[in-house]
Amino acid sequence: MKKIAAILALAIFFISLIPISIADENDAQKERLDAKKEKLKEAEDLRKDKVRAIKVSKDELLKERNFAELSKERLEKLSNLDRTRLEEFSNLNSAELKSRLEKIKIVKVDAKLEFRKRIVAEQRIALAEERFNDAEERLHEAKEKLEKRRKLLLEAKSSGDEGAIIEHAKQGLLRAADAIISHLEKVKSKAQESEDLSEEEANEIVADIDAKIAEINDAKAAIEAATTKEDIREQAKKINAAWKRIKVKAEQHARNLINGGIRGILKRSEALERKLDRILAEMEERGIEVAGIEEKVAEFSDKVAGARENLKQSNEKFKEAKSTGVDEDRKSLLEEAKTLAREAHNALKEAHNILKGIVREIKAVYKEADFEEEEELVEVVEEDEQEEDQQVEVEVEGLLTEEQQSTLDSLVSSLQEAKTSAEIEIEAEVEDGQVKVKKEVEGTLTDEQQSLVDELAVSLETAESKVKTKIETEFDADDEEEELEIEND
Amino acid sequence: MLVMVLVVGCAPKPAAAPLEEKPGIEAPATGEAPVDAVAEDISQVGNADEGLDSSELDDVDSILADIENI
Repeated sequence: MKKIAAILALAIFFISLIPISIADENDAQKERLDAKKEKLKEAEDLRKDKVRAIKVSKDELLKERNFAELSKERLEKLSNLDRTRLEEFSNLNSAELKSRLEKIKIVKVDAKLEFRKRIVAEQRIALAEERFNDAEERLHEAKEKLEKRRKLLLEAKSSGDEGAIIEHAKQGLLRAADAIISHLEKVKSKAQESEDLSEEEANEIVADIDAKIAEINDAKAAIEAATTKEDIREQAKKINAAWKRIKVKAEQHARNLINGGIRGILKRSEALERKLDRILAEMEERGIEVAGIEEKVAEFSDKVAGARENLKQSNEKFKEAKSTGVDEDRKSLLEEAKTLAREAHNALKEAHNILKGIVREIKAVYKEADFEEEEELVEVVEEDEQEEDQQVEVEVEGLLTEEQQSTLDSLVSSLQEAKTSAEIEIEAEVEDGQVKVKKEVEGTLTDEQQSLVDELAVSLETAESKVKTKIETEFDADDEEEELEIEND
Repeated sequence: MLVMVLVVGCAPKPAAAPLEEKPGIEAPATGEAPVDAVAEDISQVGNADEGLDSSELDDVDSILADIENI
């Protein structure tokens, strides 16, 4: 009984401690809440403090002394430029400024496209994505089987089992072919769903990839028919040479896709800066001010400008890579193009993280800010971008010797100097050890150009595997007149 | 036992670490369609760049060379 009484007394004692403990905790909570309130008040004061004069510095930049003498048309061009370019232009002298502005065109953009080159139906995109995933799965499977065959082949070689060597080498080749086809299918699916390629560009890529897949399938049929070690070795050589050529082409298609995508993001980012300009101007009209916002917009603009420069350089390297058939040069140029494109992509990523912060700050003080309001979409195009798109297109598939490359370069230089519009295709096919060279020329060539075409075609008669060179040049008849007009302006 | 329960139950919880935007980590969406759409494009291009890298076929190069020399 005494024990029970003691336990009860203890229990009552402990239970009585609970409210004290809760009360202590309540006090602590209250203190924390007070501290939080204090911090919130400080933050609110800080925010209010931040609402100071917004400087729509784009307007200030446009009021630069340098720009005062410009015609209405040139001022209109300037008003569409981003802060970074405006800043750069404000430091130019009058002649340089006029010359740079002459090279700039403000092109109206279809609002539905929003800087995309086409619209692909959602269903088609979903289908292409499904194909991409299937191809990825098949590639994974083929690579696993390939690895197993490699091990079995090594075992067969060490045991000297000729039958097993033939079987595992054959199966290994077939699985390698499957892996190549799956990789090509992946590139093809991405081209089919890309809205940053025109219909024509996408169709060209798809047709080329289909031709390459057919080539590998033909090689697969020949591998299936192989019965001796010699047959297998010969087929391995063929498929290896084809894969080396196809791999470069697949990398080029992928680069086209990726750089096209980055270009689209870049253009949409430039448009977002113009959207910000409109919202900042509205805020100024309403007397809503955010301290430091201008610096952040300038930082965003700088990142986008960095991406623009990186992408431009990447496209230049890519163009050079396409126009060379010298393996080492091509590899290093493609690598440089890839690195520069990744830098452009990273700069855009950073720009958008800054932009997200800007949007949040604006929305905190100007809830009516309408980022979705449709406005006239324009694209700022600089002349060298147009030149890049138009005048000279050179593509080499397969390998060229240094000497052949030099002949090709001389031919291209001659076409450029003489402003000869032409389409030239020279192709060397190797079948059963025989080299067949085809050449097709559209346009009127000079004697020198014709002789260079012949020289290149003759030199390709010694090609060890397929080589295709394609040159397209397009010059407007009045190009020279236009240049003169600009000089006289 | 009861003391243990009380001590554990009433112990103040450690304050949650404040959320910080770490450099290189993508900031969350803004809820503004044109801005978030571009962020989505950036992510898609990054994925495509990885997905189309031909280095995934480097082992094909080596096995083809092995078979050429059987």
